[in-house]
Amino acid sequence: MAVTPPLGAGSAGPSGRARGLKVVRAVTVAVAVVGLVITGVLAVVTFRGHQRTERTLLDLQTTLIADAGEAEDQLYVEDHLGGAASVAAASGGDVSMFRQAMTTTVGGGNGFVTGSLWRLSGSSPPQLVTEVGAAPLVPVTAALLREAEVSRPFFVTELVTPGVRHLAFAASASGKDGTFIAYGEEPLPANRRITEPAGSPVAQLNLAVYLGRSQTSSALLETDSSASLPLRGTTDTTRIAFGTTVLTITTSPRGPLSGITGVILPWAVTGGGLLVTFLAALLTERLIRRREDAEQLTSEVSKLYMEQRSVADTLQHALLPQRLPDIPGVEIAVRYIAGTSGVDIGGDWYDVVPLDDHRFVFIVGDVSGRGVRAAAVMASLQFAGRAYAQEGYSPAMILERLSRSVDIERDGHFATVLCGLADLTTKTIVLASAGHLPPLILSGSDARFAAAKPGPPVGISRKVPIAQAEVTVVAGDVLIAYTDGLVERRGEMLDVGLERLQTAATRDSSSLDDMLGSIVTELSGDTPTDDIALIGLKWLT
Amino acid sequence: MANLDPGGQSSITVKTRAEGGTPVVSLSGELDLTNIERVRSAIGDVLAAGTGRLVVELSELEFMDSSGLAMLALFARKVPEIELRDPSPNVRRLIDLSGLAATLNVSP
Repeated sequence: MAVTPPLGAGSAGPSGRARGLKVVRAVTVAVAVVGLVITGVLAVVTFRGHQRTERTLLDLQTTLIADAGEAEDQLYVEDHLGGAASVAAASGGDVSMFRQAMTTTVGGGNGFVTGSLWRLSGSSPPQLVTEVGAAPLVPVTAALLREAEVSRPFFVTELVTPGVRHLAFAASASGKDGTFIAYGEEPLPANRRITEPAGSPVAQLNLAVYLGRSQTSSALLETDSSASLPLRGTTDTTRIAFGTTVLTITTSPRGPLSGITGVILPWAVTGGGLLVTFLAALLTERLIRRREDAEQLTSEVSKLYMEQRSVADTLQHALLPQRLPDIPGVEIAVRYIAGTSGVDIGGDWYDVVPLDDHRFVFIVGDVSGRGVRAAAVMASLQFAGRAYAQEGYSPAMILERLSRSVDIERDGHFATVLCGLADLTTKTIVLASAGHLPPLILSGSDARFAAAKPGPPVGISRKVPIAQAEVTVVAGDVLIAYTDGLVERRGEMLDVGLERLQTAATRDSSSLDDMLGSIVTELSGDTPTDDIALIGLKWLT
Repeated sequence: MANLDPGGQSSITVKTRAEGGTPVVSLSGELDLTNIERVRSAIGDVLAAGTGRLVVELSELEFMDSSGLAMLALFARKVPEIELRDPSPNVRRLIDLSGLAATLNVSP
């Protein structure tokens, strides 16, 4: 149907690809972007929430560890060394009582590996009262003891020799026999590594304990972490009082403290969000495409409709006389308007057939229904009518003969036909109607419908004879014959339409052609639903 | 474009009854090309039983186009006696102007 453009094959490729490249529509992109943004926000929120929970749990556990450690270590040293010093001060440096006090704390896997009691009196050098357990890692110095004398609750320091590290504690108590210093050493674990028992609340944490405030490797007392120190990542640091110094406790989680759900959730949100976004974008794209396809289909259907309509119009006009004959003494004007009802071709027609120099036949007809068959019936009636007219038959006989060529039962169509034989010499018109609407005759300011008793339409019955009527005209008279599309309106009496025609025809107009034009405009508007054929004859002489 | 819609039928109601052995078909609404087949088959069903007389009541029929006229004329060929009863003025005028009054028995 469509003409192939000269560059058809060449241009189809690139344009097809261009359409293919435009894979995703703008709306789809927007949907995807919105989905991604929502997914991102949700993922960040859940991740932050998880982080906050982890941080809170870490802080909580670290505080618990610190509190427990503070109580344990601090009290142990205070109880045993402080207690031993107090006993010594009260007993005036009784050796057996000191030993008694230290029995449960020194050696045999107890807290201290060595213990000793020192007496300080005035500025004289410290005097060793007694010693239990192993020898001190390094000799106890006077400076240490002097410092321990003024330290509360106890003095603590770290002793280091190659491969061995001890923590040294010293607590003092004064009695009437002077100041007594109880001294003890606690070994630090080899490599400073300790192993927390499984199930311990600390088991989930990496733990590093430093003596003092700094987290240097030399200050590290112990750790249960195999990772390199200082701890990295999420850490929490707290400090607890420890004798004259502090313990710095640093923790980091070994895994998610709140369980695996908190870790999975952000990923689940991200994955789910991406999936939903993808599906939403997919759905949007499909809907858009379906709509585009539908729009394209509609436009194609519309185009086809217009083409078919145009074909019907072309055929219709081709069947009508291309040129009306010149008849001296008579002005002829015609109108044909295709109705908007459907795409089918209609079956209205008109014809003017000159017989000799003063007579002519005019015919207006309307085949029932629409479509190609109706048009075929119309064409056969038109040609037959023309032939019968030229044979010299009267209008009634022309109609009766036309009735032989069409049958409603056989052809599915019938036709109303008006046939007139005009004689310019006698100024008469002989009219016959096969079920057709009466022609309007304008004479001066008078407009009347010619009374010709209609016979049955062509193709309905051949039994009923068709009557003829003769009207006389004078110069200036106009006859208008038409098809029912001009005057019929749904829901309106037919007579109303006929009166409207009467009124419209009597308005002033500059020419016969103008008159037909304004009649059509006034009666049918711009878009008549039914086809309209209209012929006007004006007697000039 | 609305005319492309095959479902765009004008409104018509067909009722049938018997009147002393004579089938009576009552048409109300508008009869035109869009619904003529429905009416044609409804009347065809009535006639299938075989009858010498058919009454078509037209008092409620507000509009009829030429296809309706043609249908009635066709049935008039098949049924020996067909009576078009009480047509509305508009339909009556249409029957008169179409010349069918000569072939159909219209009453009153």
